[in-house]
Amino acid sequence: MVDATLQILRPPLVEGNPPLAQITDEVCQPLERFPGKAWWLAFLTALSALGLGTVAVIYLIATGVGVWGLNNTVGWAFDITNFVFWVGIGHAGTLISAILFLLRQKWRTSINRAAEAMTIFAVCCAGIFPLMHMGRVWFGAYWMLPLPNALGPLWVNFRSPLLWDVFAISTYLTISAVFWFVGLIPDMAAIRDRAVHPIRKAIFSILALGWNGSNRAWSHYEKLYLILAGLSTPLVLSVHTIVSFDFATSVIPGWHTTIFPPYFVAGAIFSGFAMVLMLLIITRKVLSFEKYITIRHLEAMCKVILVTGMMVGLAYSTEFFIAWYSGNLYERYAFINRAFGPFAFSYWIMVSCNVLSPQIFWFKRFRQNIPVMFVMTIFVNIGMWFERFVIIVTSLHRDFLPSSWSMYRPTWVEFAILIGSFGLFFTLFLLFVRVLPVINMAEVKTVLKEGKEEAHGGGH
Amino acid sequence: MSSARRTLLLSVCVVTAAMLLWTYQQQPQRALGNVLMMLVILLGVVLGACFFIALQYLMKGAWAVVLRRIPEALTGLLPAAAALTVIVWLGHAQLYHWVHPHGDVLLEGKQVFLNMPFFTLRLLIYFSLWFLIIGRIVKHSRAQDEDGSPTHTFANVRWSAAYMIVFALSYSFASFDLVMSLEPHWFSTIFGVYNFAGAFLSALTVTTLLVIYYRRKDCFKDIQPVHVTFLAKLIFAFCIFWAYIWFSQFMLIWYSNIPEETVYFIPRMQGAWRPLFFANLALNWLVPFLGLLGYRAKRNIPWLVCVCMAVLAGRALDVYLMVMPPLSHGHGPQFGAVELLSLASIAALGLLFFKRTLHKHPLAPTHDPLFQESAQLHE
Repeated sequence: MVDATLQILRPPLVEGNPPLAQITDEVCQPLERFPGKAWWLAFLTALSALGLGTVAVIYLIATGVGVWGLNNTVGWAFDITNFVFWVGIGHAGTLISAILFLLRQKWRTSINRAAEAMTIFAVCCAGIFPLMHMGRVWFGAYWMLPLPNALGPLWVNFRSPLLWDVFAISTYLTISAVFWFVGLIPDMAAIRDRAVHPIRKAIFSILALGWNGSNRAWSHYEKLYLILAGLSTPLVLSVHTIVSFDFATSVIPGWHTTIFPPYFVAGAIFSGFAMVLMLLIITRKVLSFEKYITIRHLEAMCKVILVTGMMVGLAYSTEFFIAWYSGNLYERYAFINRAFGPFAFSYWIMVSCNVLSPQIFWFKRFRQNIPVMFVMTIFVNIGMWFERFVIIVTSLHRDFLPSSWSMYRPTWVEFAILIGSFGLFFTLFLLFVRVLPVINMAEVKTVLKEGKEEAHGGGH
Repeated sequence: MSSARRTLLLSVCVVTAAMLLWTYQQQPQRALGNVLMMLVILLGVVLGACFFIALQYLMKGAWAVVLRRIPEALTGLLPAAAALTVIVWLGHAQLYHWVHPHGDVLLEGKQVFLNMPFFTLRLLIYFSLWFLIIGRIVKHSRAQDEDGSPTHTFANVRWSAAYMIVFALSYSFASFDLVMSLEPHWFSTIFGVYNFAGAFLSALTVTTLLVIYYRRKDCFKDIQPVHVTFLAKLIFAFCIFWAYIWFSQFMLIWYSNIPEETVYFIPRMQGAWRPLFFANLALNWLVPFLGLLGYRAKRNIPWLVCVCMAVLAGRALDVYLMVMPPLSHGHGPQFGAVELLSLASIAALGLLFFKRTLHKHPLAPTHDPLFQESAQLHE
C-alpha cells in the first residue's frame, strides 16, 4: 500500500523514462530543422504587433508625451501600469530558477529554462515604459544614472524610489541574464558537439566557453549555480518591493499602505506563473514536449497560482478593512471610489480574475484540464494588469481636492505601445525557442529514474 | 518526565501566578501586559508549529517526517494559550482603552468592530477553528501509526489546506484584535504578516532546540545531523523574512512621516526604549543572519543552540515592544521579577504541555509513506 501511495506522492518527473540520447535529440530537434508554418505565422503576428508599437513610440517621441491621455491629476496611468505588469511577469522565472532550486523542487527542471528566458524578455518590455514616460528619452542616461554632466543642475534624486527602481531592476536583469547563461552552458556544449554547419559550430563553441563535461567543470558549474541561486533569491523579493515603494512611500490614500511590499511580490509571482503556464501550454504542444512538461508540471503551477491568488485576495481585503478601520476619511473614500466609483469596472475585473476565478483550481479536474488552464492564465493576466491600473489610476483621479478631480481616457498611442510590448515579448520568446534549447537537457537527465536507481545502488 | 522536574515546572507557574496577582494589585496594566505577552508568544509557537506541519503536507515534503512529532506536540500547547486568552479577556477593561471610547470620535467610529461582544465572538471563532483543524491534523497523523493507512496522509493534505486559509485570516485578525488594538488609533496593513513572520521564526527555533535535545534519545534515532541543518537553513531564511517585513513596515511609515502612523514608532524610538528598539533588530535578524551565514555554522550544534536562544530572546523582546509601550504610559521599559518569571513560566508551561502530549504516542511516525525518504535524507 505504501508503494502505491509513493506512486502518487512521487510520480516520475519525465514520462516514459526515455534514454538519455533521445532527450538530447528531442530537445535539440526544433533548433536543427527549418521552422514550420505555425511558427512563421506566430512570429509574423508578433513582429507586426512590435511594428505597431514601434510606430507609436516614434510618434510619441516625435510629438511628446501629450499624445497620451494623461492630465494634471492623472500623471501616471497606462505607462506605469504596463511597467509594473511586465516587471511582475518576470518574477515567476526567478522564483522557479532560484527559490525552487534552493527548496529542491525537482519538478522545476523541465520548466526553468523557458521561465528564465521569459523573465529576461519581460524585464526588457518593462524597461520601455519608464523610458518613454521620461519625455526626452535621449537624456535618459542623465535622468537615471548619477553621471556628472554639463547640463546645469541635472542630478538624480537618490531619495526617490524611482531611482532605486533603476538600480533594483538593472541588478535583476544582470543577475537573471547571468543565471540563465550559466545554466545554458552545458546544453550549448551539447549543441556545439552535435552541430554540422561550421558557423553554427563556431557560435556555440564560443558560447559554451570551452565546456568539456569533466568532473571539474561540473563541480565548478554546480557551485556557481548554487551561488547564483542564493543571489537571485533576495531579488525575487526586492525588485517588486522597490516597485511597490514607488507608490507606498507617497502619502496618497490607496498608495500608501504598509502591506504593499509583500503584496506586490505575491501578485508578481501570481501573474508570472500565469504567463509561464500560458507559454508552456503552447510550447509543449507545438514542440511535442508533453513527456517532459507533463500535466503534473502544469498542475503544480496551477497550485502556485491558487495560493498566490489567495495571498493577493488577503491583501485586498486587509487593505479594504484597514481603510475603514483607520477612520481616515480620505483613506475610506479612496477604497469606496475604487469599488463603486467611475472606474468600478476595473476593480471588479481585478477581483473576479484574481481572487474568484482561480478558486476553480481547488479541483483536480480543472488543474488537469488544459483548455481551462489556458483560459485561466489569460484571466489572471488581465486581472493583474487591471490590479495595477486600479491602484494607479483610481487612487489618482480623485485626490484630496474635488476641484482637481478628473477622468482618464487612454489614447490609441497607449494601446499601441501596450500591444507593441506584447509583440516584443513574443518576438523574443519565439526567437528563443528557435535558437536555444527550451528544456534544460542536463538537468532533466538528472531527475530520470535511471539516475535515481544508480544513486541508491551506489549510496546505500 | 520525572516527578521532581514536573514539580519544579509547576512551581515556576504557581510562583508566576502569585507574582502576577501581586503586581496586579499595584500595576494592573503591567500584570495584564505580561499575560498578553505570554499569550502572544505561546500562540505564535503553537500556530507556527502547525503551519510548519501543514506546509510539509501541502508541499509533499519528506525531510521533516522523522521529526514531525515534535511540532505536533507543540500544538498541544493550544489549551495553555486558550487559558491565557481567558485571563486577557477578563482584563480587557484595563488593557484595551477602546472599551471606553467616550468622547473619542475616532474610537466611537470604530465601535462597530471594536466592541466587547464582537471581540469575544471573534476570539471564540478563532480558537474553535484552531482547536478543530489542529486537532484533526494531529489525529490523522497518529491514527496512521495504528492502522498504517495512507488515506490519513491525503486527509491531512486537505486539512492542511484548510488550516492555511483559516490561519492566514484568523491570525491576521487575531493580531489586530489582541495586539494592534492596544493602540486603537494606530493601524498598519502589514501588522498581521509581521506577527506571522515572528511567530513562525519562533516556532522554527523552538522546534530546532527540541530536535537537538531529543535526537540523542533512542526514540528519535532517525533524526540525523542533516535534519538539524535543514532546520537551521529555514531559521536563516525566515530571520531574513522577518527583517524584510519589519523593514517594510518601518521604512514606509518613516518615509511618509504621517503623524497618524508615526505615533507607533516615536515612543519606541525615544528615551530608554531606543536601545531595545535596535536590539530587536539585532537579535531577530543580525545575530541569526551573520551567525548562520557560514557553512559550518549551520552544522555546529552548540553554536546553533546559542543562535536559537538569541532568536527566542529576540522574539520575547519583539512582543514586549509591541505590547508594553502603550501600557506603560510614558514610563520607560520596566523589566523586573514579574517579567522574568513570566518568560520563565512560558517555558515551564510549554514544557509541561509539550511533554504531556509528546509521550502519549509513538515518537516516530514510521507508517508515514514518506518516512523512509525522510530517514534517508542526505545533504
